[in-house]
Amino acid sequence: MGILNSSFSLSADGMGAMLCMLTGISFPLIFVSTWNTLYKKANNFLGLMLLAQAGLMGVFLAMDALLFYFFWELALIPVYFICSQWGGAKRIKITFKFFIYTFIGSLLMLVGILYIYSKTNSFDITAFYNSNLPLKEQMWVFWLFFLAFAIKMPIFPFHTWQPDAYEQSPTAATMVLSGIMVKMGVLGLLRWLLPVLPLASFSWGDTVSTMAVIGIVYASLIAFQQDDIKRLVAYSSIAHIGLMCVAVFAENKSALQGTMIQMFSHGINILGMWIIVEIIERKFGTRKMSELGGIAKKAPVLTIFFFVIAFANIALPLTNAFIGEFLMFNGILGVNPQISKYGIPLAVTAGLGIILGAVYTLKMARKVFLGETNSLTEKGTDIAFHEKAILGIIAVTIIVAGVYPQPLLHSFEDITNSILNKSDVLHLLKSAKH
Amino acid sequence: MNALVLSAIFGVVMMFSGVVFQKNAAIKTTGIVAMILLFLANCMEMRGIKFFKFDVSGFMAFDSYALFFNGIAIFATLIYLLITSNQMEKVGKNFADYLALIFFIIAGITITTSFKSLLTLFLGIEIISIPLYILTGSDKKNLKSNEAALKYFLMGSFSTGIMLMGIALIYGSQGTFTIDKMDFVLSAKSNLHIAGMLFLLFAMSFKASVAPFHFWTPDVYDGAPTVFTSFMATIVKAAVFIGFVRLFGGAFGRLEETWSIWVAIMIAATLFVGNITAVFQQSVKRMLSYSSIAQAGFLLFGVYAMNDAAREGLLIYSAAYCLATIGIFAVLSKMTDYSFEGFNGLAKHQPVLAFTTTICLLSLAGIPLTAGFLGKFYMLKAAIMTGHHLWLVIFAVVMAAVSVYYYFRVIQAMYFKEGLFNLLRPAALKNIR
Amino acid sequence: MFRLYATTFKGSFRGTHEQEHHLHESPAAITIPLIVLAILSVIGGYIGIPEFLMQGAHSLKDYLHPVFEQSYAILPAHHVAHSTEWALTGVSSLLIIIMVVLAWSRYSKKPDMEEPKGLGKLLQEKWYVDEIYQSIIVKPLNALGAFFNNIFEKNIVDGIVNGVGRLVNYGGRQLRWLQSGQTGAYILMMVISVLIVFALQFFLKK
Repeated sequence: MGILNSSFSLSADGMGAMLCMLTGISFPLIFVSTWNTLYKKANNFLGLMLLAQAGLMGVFLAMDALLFYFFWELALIPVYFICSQWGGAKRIKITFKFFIYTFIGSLLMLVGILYIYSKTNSFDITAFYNSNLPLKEQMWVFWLFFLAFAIKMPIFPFHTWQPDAYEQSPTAATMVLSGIMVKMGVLGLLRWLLPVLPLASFSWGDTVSTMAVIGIVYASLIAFQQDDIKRLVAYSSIAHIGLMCVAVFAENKSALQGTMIQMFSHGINILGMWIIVEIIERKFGTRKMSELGGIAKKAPVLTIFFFVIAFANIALPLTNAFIGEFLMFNGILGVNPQISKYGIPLAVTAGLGIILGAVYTLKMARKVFLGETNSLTEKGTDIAFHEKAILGIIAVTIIVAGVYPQPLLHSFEDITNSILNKSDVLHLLKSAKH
Repeated sequence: MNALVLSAIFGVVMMFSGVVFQKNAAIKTTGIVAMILLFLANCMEMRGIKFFKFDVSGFMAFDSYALFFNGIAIFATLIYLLITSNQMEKVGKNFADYLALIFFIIAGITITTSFKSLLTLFLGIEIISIPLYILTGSDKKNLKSNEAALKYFLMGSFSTGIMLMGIALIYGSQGTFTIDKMDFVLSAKSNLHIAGMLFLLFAMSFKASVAPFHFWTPDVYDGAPTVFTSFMATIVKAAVFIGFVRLFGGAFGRLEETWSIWVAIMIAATLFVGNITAVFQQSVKRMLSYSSIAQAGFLLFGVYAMNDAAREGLLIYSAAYCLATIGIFAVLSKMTDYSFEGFNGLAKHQPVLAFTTTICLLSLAGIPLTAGFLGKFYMLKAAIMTGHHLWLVIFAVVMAAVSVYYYFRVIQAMYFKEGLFNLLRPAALKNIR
Repeated sequence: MFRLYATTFKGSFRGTHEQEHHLHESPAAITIPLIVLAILSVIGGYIGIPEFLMQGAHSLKDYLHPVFEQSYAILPAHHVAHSTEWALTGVSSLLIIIMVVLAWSRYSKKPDMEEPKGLGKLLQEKWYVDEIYQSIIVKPLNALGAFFNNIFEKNIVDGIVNGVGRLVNYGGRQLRWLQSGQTGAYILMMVISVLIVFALQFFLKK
């Protein structure tokens, strides 16, 4: 669009390429894993899913603010229809809340985009990077952007749509929501917030990190209380995303690289988790932990895969999440004291959340897979071939990325450096003084 | 000029067509053909081909902006006639007269959008209003319709009085009606023309249903026959806004500092009242009339920002808004039950109809990839370009999110709720098919 | 250790007769590794002979040195006097011998399995460490989690979100009353707003 100085510019840097790869891997897996779930009007369902996929990839690749906004909404609307049409009993209300919540966020982001546009007169990302708004304006434009991302990720206390939405959505949509869609928020932080508004990101960094850390512990504690596996995984996702948010605002190389690789790992792990939840729900007709038990005896292969994924979820060494979490913690602990003085307390509290993460994951493992079988799980059978295949792919990805993450890390090298360059607050502050 | 003269002539033609033709179908055809001719005539004028060479430069200016909007308005009316003329026949016996009145309104619209003198503006507004009073009451046997017409007439005359008062004050301070010749700088401190300007602001706000002068809107829109509500709420309202922008951009441009704060407050009030009240409505028709108030709030951004982006935005916004609202009203006029429950399960029985309605609603809600988004986008952009009152923009987007709530209630009803869809009249069902 | 040995291998068999019948020596797959492990553990004891017993016999001393090189650079290695080492070794050896004798005499004769009392009870319950964890960490965390889950999340965090929605709804219900249907009331409200605007414009701004 010539008049608006906006263009259809897409380009794949390391982060965009990785997230597109994640999307590309996830969607076929989602389709195969929900093969046996019968959806009414499956053609509509698949069409909407593919539309959502297009929107997601667009978000990951857009290098133009207006285009970014377009795709941001485009990804949301099909998901809204999917969830409202094929979800659980309370789906209409819950999905509606989710939709309006995220819609408010994205409209505020639109205001922010337009505000920067009114200064730069171009929607191009490089123009945005060079906008150099004065600190006062950055301070509140930051919140316009951040609210959109915080609701999407979600960060405490903007998360309440999430467990309900995950619970009520059809599992395929939940996988899209949690595996890929939340990455939109993290990507937004990395690409559209930190480099565009570096001064504000620096000034608000501690506030945001504190919110995120509270969210980690808070979500973990709540996850511990859940009986529904879907809700448990939902809250655990909030905790994981919170850690990424803290790491982003640590603004150093280790933390950012950790965040990026964790985006990928988290996508894969939670996808595996949902696939297992989906299988359990399909086999036994319930997601309540109190009604399950002893599946290990009936479905040993499923159990093995579950444990691989659960270990990845709690970031045991040799799994992909370990690399990400290690780098992130390393980054948060080693945060430049001029950027944040609270690196150590943040890391310690976040670490507490991770320990709790191990607790509730293992609790779930014990209640669902170990123990005695009951009347419900008595007739359980092991998983079918195609399920073995997809879970196998996921397990292999987990271990390969956990043992040999170098290629991934290497691909993030450039983008990390460029983000850090553009958001180099200390340098900016110094030059502002002169 | 082409459109103005022709629409007046066609209006008279339509009146006589009622006498000449016995069948409604023939009248309908005549009306639609006349509307197409009108559209072509307007397009020709945009190309510089003028049929009539009167010198009206003293009180009217058919510039490209006005012509472009007239084009949009005539085109939208054409679509409106094509979609709803079947429904229009059912309102009463005088089908030909309704069409004639619509042509007269078009004449009024062309005057309002291209006035150059305050008297011409007054004339245009009145030419629009008087046929509307009649159309509102056209369902003669319906008490609600009568009540609405009377209310509209009473309050409309009140606002006409205010408008004339404003014009008189301006004339008193400037000694001219022509907006080009007014010079507010010399007499910047005169209260006379500030008062006059405020009076005109109120009168125009009334016609555009901007809070706190919106009170007539829900009652009249609800009472009037649905087909005419659709016309009133869209094309007429957009035309009033074009006049609004011309008046405040042209004549009162120099006084922007004085009125911009009032306009900003009115935008906030309009958005608030329109959106919040719409949330609780149980009838889709009433919801739409409140939503049209809310949309007026967004259109008012065009007046508030008063820059190029705003002028462009106003055209895009009004086009998008007109088409979407006409579409929804067309669907609504086929329903017997105007409540939200009446839409339950529509998607199952009428997938195409439901899908079209959904697109219209998405456009009204301003979801990306629809025209409505582009309109909102331009309006917000224009407002941000002015660089002050950013709270207003943020307030507006929050209200836009509220509007999603009530628009999506209809979508939910159509797609996700199980239908008790036997409420649709069998005859109406036939029409849709 | 010796209690374990004594109760398991000495004294009379406490299982049923049936089980006694099935007792037999473990197969070679178990005994051979056991023998190897036993030999290795004896050898292991002689590899790391401390300095005060035999100079230079501590062959493992420098084995891990490269690993800790950096930490040695920071932390100077601290030395303990040989007499202290003698004393520590002596006391611990003596204690071990006493305990061996005690355990042997107590458990090989009458391998009683009754409920222990006093210190025995404390030991039986592993110093109550699990219970301490249970009461000072697990229970409060559980309670906190339950509080967050049932009260804080539902009423406060989500309550605010839903409250906003409810507020909008409520506002809609109340604002509706402005629309009374009375033309007189409408015109009154319009006139009042006109008056307010004029008042603000002409009397307050100057």
